Amino acid sequence: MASKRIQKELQDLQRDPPTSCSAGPAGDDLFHWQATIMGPGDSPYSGGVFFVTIHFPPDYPFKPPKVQFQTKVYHPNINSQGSICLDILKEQWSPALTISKVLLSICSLLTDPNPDDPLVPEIAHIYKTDRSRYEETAREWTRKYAMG
Amino acid sequence: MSAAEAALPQLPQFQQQQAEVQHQQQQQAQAEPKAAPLEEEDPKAALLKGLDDSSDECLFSCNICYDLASEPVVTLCGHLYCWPCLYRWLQVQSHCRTCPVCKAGVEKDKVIPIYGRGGNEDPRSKSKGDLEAVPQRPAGQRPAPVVRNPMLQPNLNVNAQQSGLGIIPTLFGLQNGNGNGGYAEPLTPEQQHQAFLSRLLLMLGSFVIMCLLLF
Repeated sequence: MASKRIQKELQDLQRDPPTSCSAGPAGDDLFHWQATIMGPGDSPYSGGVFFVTIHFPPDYPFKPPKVQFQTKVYHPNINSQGSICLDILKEQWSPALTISKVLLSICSLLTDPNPDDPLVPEIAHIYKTDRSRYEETAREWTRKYAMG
Repeated sequence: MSAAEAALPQLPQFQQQQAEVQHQQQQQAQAEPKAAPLEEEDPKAALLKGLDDSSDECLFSCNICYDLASEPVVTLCGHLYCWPCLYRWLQVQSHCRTCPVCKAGVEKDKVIPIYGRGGNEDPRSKSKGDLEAVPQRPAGQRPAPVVRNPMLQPNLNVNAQQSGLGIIPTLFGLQNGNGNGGYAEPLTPEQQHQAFLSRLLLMLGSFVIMCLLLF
């Protein structure tokens, strides 16, 4: 059932690709995908291209996919391993969600970080107290790791 | 349900579009008869393809496996699932059972099965493993039909007379309270059973009193 559903999601993505992200199988394995997210224009990540790996569990869609950033990101909810703190990837997961919706949620997380539920408390602190410093560092990291 | 309702008004629009397309084609055919047969294929095929993709498949596909729903059930919030898919999701969710689409509360025995014309499989044809894992989907509720004609309303007095207890039928009939002028609420089998028992007791009681008085 999992592979059939993943196949359908892939068809939907190809038929109606979302703006600002793309996704597809990394190799022959349908359960291992690679995705790219364009940094949202109204965020310090603008202009960057972020690579993301997606692992589907065997009991997908009953369990959420494992999504991880490969590109380094300076963000209160993304740590140095690339793990993402996002409720729909954990306890708020629903089998009616799709990879396309998950990627869209990650895009909006880039635009609007959630410093009250941080994965990197230091960045969350800077985000709350010194917004311009946060934006400057995020822009610098985007230039350094997500461009070219 | 909302998707189905939303789709309804679109159908006449589609017909209208088709009519317009045909009209245009006719005009084109009149204007340049040679080019017409070629152009006739494209818009129709595109329209039909669009109809196939959006309404046929998505409208009746399960919100979990995205396939055409097998053993379809609908939640009280109106979202369609395969019964095996929904059952499995409710098993996975331990603390709070919610609808995957709208997060409304869902209970296993409060979903409504949908019986279409075809596709009702013989349960024996299923593999044994499937039957053990997923129980039968809940059966549909069958409310008693409301009888409109008060003359045809099945009256409990008739029952009393038939079972030979009708010595004083009006006395026993008083309990039924059928005097609300027509639309009597149909009694459930349990209520009927209770009414019968209470009448039997009353009958026995009056018989004892009669015996005491006579002898």
